[in-house]
Amino acid sequence: MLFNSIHFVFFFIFVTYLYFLIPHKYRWQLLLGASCYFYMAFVPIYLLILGFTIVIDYFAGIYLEKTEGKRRKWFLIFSLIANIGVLAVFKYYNFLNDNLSGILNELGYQNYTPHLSILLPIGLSFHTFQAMSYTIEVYRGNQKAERNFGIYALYVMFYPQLVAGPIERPQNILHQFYEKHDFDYNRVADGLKQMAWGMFKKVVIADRLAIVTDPVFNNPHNNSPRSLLIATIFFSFQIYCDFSGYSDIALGAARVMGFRLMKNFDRPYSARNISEFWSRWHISLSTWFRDYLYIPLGGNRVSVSRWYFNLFFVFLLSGLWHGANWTFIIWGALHGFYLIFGILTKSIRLRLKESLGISKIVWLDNMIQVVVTFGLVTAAWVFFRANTVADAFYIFSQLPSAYKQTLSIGNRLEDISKQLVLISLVLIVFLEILQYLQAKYNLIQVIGSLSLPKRWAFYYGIIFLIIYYGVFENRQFIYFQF
Amino acid sequence: MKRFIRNLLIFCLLPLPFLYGLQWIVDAGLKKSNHPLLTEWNDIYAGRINADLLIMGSSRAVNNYSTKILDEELKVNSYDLGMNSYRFPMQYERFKIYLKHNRSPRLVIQNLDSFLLSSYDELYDSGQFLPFLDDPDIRRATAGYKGEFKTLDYYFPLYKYNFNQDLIVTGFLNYFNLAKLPPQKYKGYKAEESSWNDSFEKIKQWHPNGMRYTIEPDTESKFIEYLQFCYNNNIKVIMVHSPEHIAAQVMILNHNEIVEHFRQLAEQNNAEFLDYSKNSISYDKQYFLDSQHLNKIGAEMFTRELANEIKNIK
Repeated sequence: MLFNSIHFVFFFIFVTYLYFLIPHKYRWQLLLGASCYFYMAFVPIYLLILGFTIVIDYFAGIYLEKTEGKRRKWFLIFSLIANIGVLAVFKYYNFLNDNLSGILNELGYQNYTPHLSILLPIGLSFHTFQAMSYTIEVYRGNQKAERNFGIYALYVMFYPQLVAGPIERPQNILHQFYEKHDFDYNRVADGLKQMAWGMFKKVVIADRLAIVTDPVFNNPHNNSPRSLLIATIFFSFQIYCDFSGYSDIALGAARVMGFRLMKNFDRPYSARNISEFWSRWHISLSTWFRDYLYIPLGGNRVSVSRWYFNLFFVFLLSGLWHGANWTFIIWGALHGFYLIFGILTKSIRLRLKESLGISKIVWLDNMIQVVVTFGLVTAAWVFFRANTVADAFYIFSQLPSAYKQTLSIGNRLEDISKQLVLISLVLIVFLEILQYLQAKYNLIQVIGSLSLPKRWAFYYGIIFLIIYYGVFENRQFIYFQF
Repeated sequence: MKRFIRNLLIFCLLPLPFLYGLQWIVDAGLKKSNHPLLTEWNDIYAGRINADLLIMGSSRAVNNYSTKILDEELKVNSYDLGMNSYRFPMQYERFKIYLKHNRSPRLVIQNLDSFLLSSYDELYDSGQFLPFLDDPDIRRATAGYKGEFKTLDYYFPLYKYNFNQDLIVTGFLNYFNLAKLPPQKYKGYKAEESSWNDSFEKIKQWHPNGMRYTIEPDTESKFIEYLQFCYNNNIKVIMVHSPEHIAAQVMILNHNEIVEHFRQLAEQNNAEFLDYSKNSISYDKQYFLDSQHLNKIGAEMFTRELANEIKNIK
């Protein structure tokens, strides 16, 4: 069930209405049932896979808490292997098998292991990581093991964040399922506004940009360098609006019912360097990798070469988490490389800025940093979006030629309509202005303080844009495929 | 919670009367406009065509047959119901809707293309149907196409204009007579002043080995049903393959087979058959806008020849 569907609208209204109608002690059961229904709307049988890992981790948590000494570690390892094993089978088996076939063929051998025809359970990477976070935190003693099986199942399956995050921590959310959430007019209204904003980003901006980018990335050889450049830049905003739009809908839906989920995006394209970018983009995932992989590997409290290895390895795995394809791995590796290169060249860049006098002009310094960071991130997105590594390299090879073309329609068989490009640009500028106003003046509060007619006029404007400018072709959210 | 639900209901319901009212104004304005997408539909629904001679077909019908010359030469009231991009199924639907609101013609010229009886599943120029979506005939005609209209298009005010916002402006202005588009066609005929463009070169690149069209059995059945209906209702049908540039004919590998098939259909179903595909016009680019469509000079020349031929048939 997609958030941008009529089915979800009715589901949300029904579940939320019932939630506030029934006594508090039955609410977790309602949410669990609703979450099961939500998940089964995709592929019903995969609820069994989710159930399998929930059972493993529930008992692992209890035994971790009860057990003393070295045996504790084995329960954690068992739980992690079960989770990673499910991920490995459904997400990575065919990728690894195909690569093995390639290597064996090169050596003159044949690979007899079969290719599996299995569909990736939706949101597998997300709820797997959320489940792993639970057992790790119990192991570390930061979280008490949940004794109520239903509440634990709800922790994994809570429908607003089930299929595309944010990847929650048990300390943040588990206790909330025990709290009584009364109906609060302002909180519910704020939650709905956040959902509307998320929907606006998804159907008005992201899905409209996809009309431009999809044909180009799916057929790069039939598009001019100018089209490739436009699609590359547009994809940066498409993926941001798609994913942050989903997160806003998830956070808003949870907020309506009184739940506070973690913020997942914080104006990432305002970042002045790659490190800052990752503190603003998919925050729940980047902090997950920081807390459960990077820091246990030693973080930056090791030798310089080991530090660089840690950074590169974590981002390589982050790329792999996103998808079983070399394009994602290269994307992750690129970000690792960016970070390391940034560290290595920090003093040189500082000296360069000082010699050019840029460091004295703060706004110019910031602007250059933001633009360069955006450029680096956008370049990496090419690998993220391209269907193959070869396509990604082809796109890169064409980009330098883009400036040579005039503003008239290109000389290839297919090109992007000027009208679409203009509309998309207007939407991107509109988005950036709103986000800037929100950050600088707390736009939501300013609107909230307006008189009723003015407030409603603004809300009608957003809803009007969603209904009449939204693209409702039931396009899936990009991150659902992970 | 009650206060919230009450306010939410007011919020949701408050704009609806305004939106329905605005939709009514836009629809009414478009129905009296000269918007090129809507002129023929407006004339059909207003019942002001009542033609003696109808021209049916694709965009080749729109460009290739001068209704002015047909009127002058044959002393009739002719009208061109050609539809850009659509194959026979949609043409037939338009014909049926025409008959519901207008007097039957005495003569129908059915333009033939190699692709007339092939499948085509895109709802092209969907804006042309929007003011008439409350008509079950239009709903039936547009069902089954890619991009077909959904429930929200039918029932949520102005939603159907989602991808045609310019029509909202046109309809609104036309309703209050604030803007009038100059007519771009004469009784359905669009004269193209331009000369040969390079679109055929692009088509050749897309199909370097030529192409074939398949006659769909269902579509052919409808075509035969249409011919028989016309025969049974004293409507004479002349199936005409209007000039098509010879280079395009060569690229369509089964062109001659299809033309022969049409000839047989005409013979079996009491229709006349006129083939101008090998006419001298087809060999000269100066008469064409592109490989499929005649320009004004070519259309007028062809129409005069056709009119003379029709006089002999009559």
